[in-house]
Amino acid sequence: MFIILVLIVLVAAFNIISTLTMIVMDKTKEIGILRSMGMQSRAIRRIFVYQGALIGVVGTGLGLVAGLIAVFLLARYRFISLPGDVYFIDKLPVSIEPLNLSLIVGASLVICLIATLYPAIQAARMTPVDAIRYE
Amino acid sequence: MSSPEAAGWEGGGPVIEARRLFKEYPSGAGRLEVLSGVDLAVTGGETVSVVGASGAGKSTLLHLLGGLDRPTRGEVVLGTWYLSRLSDDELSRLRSRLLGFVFQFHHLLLEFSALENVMLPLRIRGVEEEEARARARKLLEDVGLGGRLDHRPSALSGGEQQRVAVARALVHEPLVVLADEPSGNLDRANSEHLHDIMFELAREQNVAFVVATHDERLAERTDRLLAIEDGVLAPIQLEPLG
Repeated sequence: MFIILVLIVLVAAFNIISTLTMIVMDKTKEIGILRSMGMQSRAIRRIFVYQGALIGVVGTGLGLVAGLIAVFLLARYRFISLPGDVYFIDKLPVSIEPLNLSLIVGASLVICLIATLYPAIQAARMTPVDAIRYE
Repeated sequence: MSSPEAAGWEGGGPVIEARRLFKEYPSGAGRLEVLSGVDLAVTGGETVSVVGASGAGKSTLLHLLGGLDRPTRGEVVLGTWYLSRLSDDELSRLRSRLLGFVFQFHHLLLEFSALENVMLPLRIRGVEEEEARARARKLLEDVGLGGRLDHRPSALSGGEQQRVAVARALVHEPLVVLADEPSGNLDRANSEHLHDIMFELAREQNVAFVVATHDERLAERTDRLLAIEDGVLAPIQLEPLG
């Protein structure tokens, strides 16, 4: 289950990479303006890491809350039926494991943070003149 | 490097100098030489205009003078700093203290208000928010935009946007402002107004201006007029305007 969830998060991480790469392209001119005013490349990198981290934290938080609500509802109303002659039980059981929860949240945050690095480094590497000339 | 003096410039002599500046770009199989040994020295408070055909290298020269790009050969000296010897971070620090830029298309940050745009160079330099706000407000009032502080660039006219850009270039009291076609996008009345503001503030702050322009009315108001042709700079005189 943990591996499946990590794979889902990995797909989401590629979404973060592509979204941030698009944002970096969209903000190229602004990067040039900030560089022309003397902002250092590491500060540019930090902006995009913060933005990616914010996406990761908000996404993980929303996912956690939605997941917990679904689990509580499932535990209370037992609305997913299973064929009893195959599984020995007729409703899908749920259990909240704090360790699993922590691992999933931790892994998703780490993967999101790693996903921000490539676009953030690309943004920081731009030379000021190329960024200003970008159309 | 908290002030021009600390940055190694103690007054007297040129504030910015180009020495035998060459710039080549790859072009197909060969190389295109845009600047072929440009020499230029600008003293404190002096205004210099550079005219020339499109593609002659005016913007390239300004980019090299501002440390936004590096020359193929030659040297730019800002104060007593040799730009070729500086790392990218050191160049950034020098830009944040000694240089201001005005571009043809305002290049303001659209998500920020006029006040926030003008505060930016000070904030990048590490000035406290309240002080930056006060200085930015004062300069915006000086350029006649005291009533538009909270307006975003999209709510300003072209002339107002360029006045904000001029305020942004001057708010940190640089040694030199590099202006690339500052009124190239404005009608005549707005251009004249912008030029009045630029020259008045240049005089007040004793800041040098290097202006790349096609606008003869702007060029004739500067202390010195240079033309760039075949990659080199030469002094010229304009015919009196009718």
